[in-house]
Parts: sequence; C-alpha cells; structure tokens
Amino acid sequence: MKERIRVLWLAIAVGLLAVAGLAVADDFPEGCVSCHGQTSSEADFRLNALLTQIGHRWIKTLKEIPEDCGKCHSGDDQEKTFMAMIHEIHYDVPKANLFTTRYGGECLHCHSMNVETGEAALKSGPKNW
Amino acid sequence: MIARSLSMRMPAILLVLTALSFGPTAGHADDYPDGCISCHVSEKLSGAAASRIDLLLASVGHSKAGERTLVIPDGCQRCHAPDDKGTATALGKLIHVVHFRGGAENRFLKRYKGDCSFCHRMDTSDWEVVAKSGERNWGVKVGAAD
Ligand code: HEC
Ligand code: HEC
Ligand code: HEC
Ligand code: HEC
Ligand code: HEC
Ligand code: HEC
Repeated sequence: MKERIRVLWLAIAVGLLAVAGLAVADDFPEGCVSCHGQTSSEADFRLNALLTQIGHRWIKTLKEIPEDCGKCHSGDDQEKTFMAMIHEIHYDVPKANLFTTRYGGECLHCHSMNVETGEAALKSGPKNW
Repeated sequence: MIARSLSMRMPAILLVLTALSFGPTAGHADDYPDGCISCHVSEKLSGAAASRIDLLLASVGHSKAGERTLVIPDGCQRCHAPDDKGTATALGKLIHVVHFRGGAENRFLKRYKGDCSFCHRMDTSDWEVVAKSGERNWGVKVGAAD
C-alpha cells in the first residue's frame, strides 16, 4: 500500500501559479507550520502547543515538519498511519471541523502538485517553535 | 513511508498550485460522484463540456485498450500500474499532468480551479484517499471487429 503511492517531501515549497491569468499567492507555502502558528499571546495554534495539550511528548527536537514526525510515525505497524491520523483530524465531522469550515478543506493547504511531472507532494517547513 | 530522498529530485520549476477562491466554477466536486466519467460526457471532441474519454484517447493515438476498459480509471491500472511497474506510466502522473499543465490555457484549471476533489474522495473508514471510479459511459465494443 505504502509503496503504491509516493509523496515527495519538499524542503521548501514556495510558488506562485498563474491560473486563468491571475497570479495567486499560496497562503500556506510550508503546509502545517504555515497554518499552525501563534496568532496572539493567548491563541497558540502551533503544533508543539497543540500536541502538548493532548499529552504528546518528544516534539522539542524535531526540525522539519511534518517530515520529522515520520521518525516515529512511519510504517504500517502502528494503529493508524500518519496519513490516516492527519486526514482524520482535518476531515472528520466536516460541519464542525474548523479545517473545513474556516479553511475550505483544500488538499492543497498541505499538498502540492508538480505540474511538470504530475507528482503530488507534501509541503513542509522548519518548525516554528 | 516518508521518503526523504525524493526531495533531492525537485525540479527547477516547481509550481505549487494554490487553492483558489475566485470566479464561478462549473459545479461542485460532489456533482461528479464517479470522477472521470461524470465530467467527461460530451460526444464531441471540442465543446464546452469535457469530451468522452474514449474519444480523447483515440484523438491522442492511444491503443483501443483504453476504450475496452470497463471501470474508469480503476481498470486502466492493468497497464498504468500505480507503482510504475506496469507496461505504462503510472496513471496518477499522466492524469495530473494533463489536468494541471499549461497554466491559463488549461480548461480544467480555468473551469474547475484544479480542485483535487473532482477526482479524489476521502474514504472515511480508513482515511485513505482514492480516485473516484465508475463504469464507462460509452458503448461496449469488446469483440467488435476493428
Ligand atoms: C490551512 C490550515 C491547516 C494546515 C495547513 C494544517 N492544519 Fe492541522 N489543524 C487545522 C485546524 C483548523 C485544526 C482544528 C480542527 C478541528 O476543528 O478539530 C487542526 C488540527 C490539528 C491537530 C489536532 C490538534 C488538537 O487539538 O487535537 C493536529 C495534530 C494537526 N492539526 C496537525 C497538522 C499537521 C501535521 C499538518 C501538516 C501535515 C497540519 N496540521 C496542517 C488547520 C491546519
Ligand atoms: C519520538 C516519537 C514521536 C515523534 C517524533 C512524533 N510522535 Fe506523534 N506519537 C508518538 C506516539 C508513541 C504516539 C502514541 C501512539 C500512537 O498513536 O501511535 C503518538 C501519537 C500522536 C497523535 C495522536 C494523539 C492522540 O492521542 O490521539 C498525534 C495527533 C501525533 N502523534 C502527531 C504527531 C505530529 C504532528 C508529530 C510531528 C510534529 C509527531 N506526532 C511526532 C510518537 C511520536
Ligand atoms: C492537514 C494536511 C493534509 C490535508 C488537508 C490533506 N492531506 Fe493528504 N496527506 C497528508 C499527510 C501528512 C500524508 C502522509 C504522507 C506520508 O506519509 O508520506 C498524506 C497522504 C496522502 C496520500 C497518500 C500518499 C502516500 O504516500 O501514501 C494521498 C493520496 C493524499 N494524501 C491525498 C490527499 C487529498 C486528495 C486530499 C484532499 C481531499 C488530502 N490529501 C488532504 C496531509 C494532508
Ligand atoms: C470535473 C471535470 C473533470 C474530471 C472529473 C476529469 N477530467 Fe479529464 N479533463 C477535463 C478537462 C476540462 C480537460 C481538458 C484540459 C485541457 O484544457 O487541456 C480534461 C482532459 C483530459 C484528457 C485529455 C488528454 C489530452 O492530452 O488531450 C484525458 C485523457 C482525461 N482528461 C482523462 C481523465 C481521467 C482518466 C479522469 C479521471 C481520473 C478525468 N479526466 C477526470 C475535465 C475533467
Ligand atoms: C493495454 C495497456 C493500456 C491500457 C489498458 C490503458 N493504457 Fe493508457 N497508455 C498505454 C501506453 C503503452 C501508453 C504510452 C506510454 C506511456 O505513457 O506509458 C499510454 C498512454 C496514456 C496516456 C498519455 C497519452 C499522451 O499522449 O500523453 C494517457 C492520458 C492514458 N494512457 C490514459 C489511459 C486511460 C484513462 C486508460 C483507461 C481508460 C488507459 N490509458 C488504459 C497503455 C494502456
Ligand atoms: C483529473 C483527475 C485528478 C485530479 C484533479 C487529481 N488527481 Fe490525484 N490521482 C488521479 C488518479 C487517476 C490517480 C491514480 C489512482 C491511484 O493511484 O489510486 C491519482 C493519484 C494521486 C496520488 C498518488 C500517486 C502520486 O502521484 O503520488 C496522490 C498523492 C494524488 N493523486 C494527489 C492529488 C492531489 C493533491 C490533487 C490536487 C492538487 C490531485 N491528486 C488531483 C486523478 C486526479
């Protein structure tokens, strides 16, 4: 299954695309960390803060997100693959899920598409904590 | 599997498509429940709607094997295997390229804003993403003399 589908991890995925003559900036060029930021001193939406609140440890040492999450979240032996976990978190109960209600549920917030080769990839970026 | 090594093959020109939210779209992704064949319905090769896939494939000189395929796109994978080990290129790459290349000229980008969900569906039982699929919308030609 895992072999079936390949996702390229991009060190930096920044780009502009002219569609229908309009150049549109990507609001989330680095995927996870572009959206999971600190919006105020009260509202910390960064992944280290979120994960700490659900009792997750060992996230201090990571560098590239989400690439380095795969140091542990890899292989099919786990109860849930990283993909299944992240897809579920962002798409479960769409009517109440902020990712769909507020951010439109776009695949391209996390993924990118290489229009030359047709390979879909996952955006990534350095941790913001 | 998280494949680090692949990031080395990043080509010079990498376009990151963005989620677009302007202008009217021709329908919502949910209006195309069977993916390819829900959208590729026109009997003519050029027109407002996307042409039937058997006609398109014939127009680019594809073998009749495409036309003989029953379930689209799943059946195409007997040659276009996802792991690139089939007799032809993995279907995902080919299909992505034809729907995303060419910028402003591309009708899939122009009319459908390149929304992945026209072709893909999240399977909520295991949170895997699959390509929507359905039976061909053209006459059965199997056994007919060419
Ligand atoms: C465009 C914005 C956006 C992007 C990009 C994004 N997320 Fe999220 N994420 C959200 C939102 C909104 C929620 C809250 C969902 C809800 O309402 O339950 C969330 C929730 C989460 C949670 C659960 C936190 C909790 O409190 O239970 C985790 C973990 C998470 N995201 C990880 C990731 C990872 C890893 C990536 C990159 C692969 C990523 N996110 C990309 C918006 C985003
Ligand atoms: C050092 C190992 C390690 C690293 C690195 C790691 N995780 Fe985990 N994570 C675990 C373990 C162990 C569990 C609990 C067992 C399981 O669910 O597989 C877990 C569970 C989770 C859960 C489920 C929590 C719940 O209770 O529902 C989420 C979400 C998660 N990790 C997200 C991430 C993200 C995002 C990253 C990268 C920023 C990350 N993890 C990095 C080891 C790790
Ligand atoms: C919140 C971030 C996020 C969103 C939104 C998201 N994905 Fe994913 N997706 C991931 C992550 C993380 C993986 C795991 C990649 C890995 O393990 O290499 C993944 C994996 C995949 C895979 C499998 C790749 C593989 O190597 O197994 C496919 C196919 C996929 N996503 C398609 C989609 C489609 C289509 C959508 C929109 C309907 C979507 N994704 C939305 C984060 C996301
Ligand atoms: C929502 C509509 C829509 C869906 C769904 C869709 N397509 Fe298309 N397709 C288009 C449009 C529009 C074009 C024309 C793009 C252009 O201007 O080059 C196109 C072009 C093509 C071509 C033309 C190739 C060429 O070189 O001329 C093929 C083959 C094709 N699609 C196959 C598929 C397959 C297989 C699927 C399902 C996996 C699919 N399409 C799903 C709208 C769609
Ligand atoms: C009997 C094997 C076979 C079957 C079945 C098959 N193809 Fe192909 N296809 C090929 C070969 C061989 C090529 C050319 C070499 C390559 O690109 O790998 C090709 C090329 C293509 C191309 C690229 C055309 C171009 O000129 O750019 C598209 C698009 C395509 N196939 C779509 C499909 C679709 C959609 C189906 C199912 C309806 C399908 N194929 C079924 C063998 C097959
Ligand atoms: C016109 C139809 C179409 C559209 C639009 C489309 N895909 Fe695909 N995609 C396919 C087909 C067909 C496959 C091959 C089926 C399979 O492997 O199960 C595929 C395979 C994939 C794969 C696995 C193989 C690979 O290339 O890595 C990923 C990941 C993926 N798509 C992500 C996306 C994302 C993200 C988008 C939006 C930017 C998108 N797709 C838009 C038709 C489409």
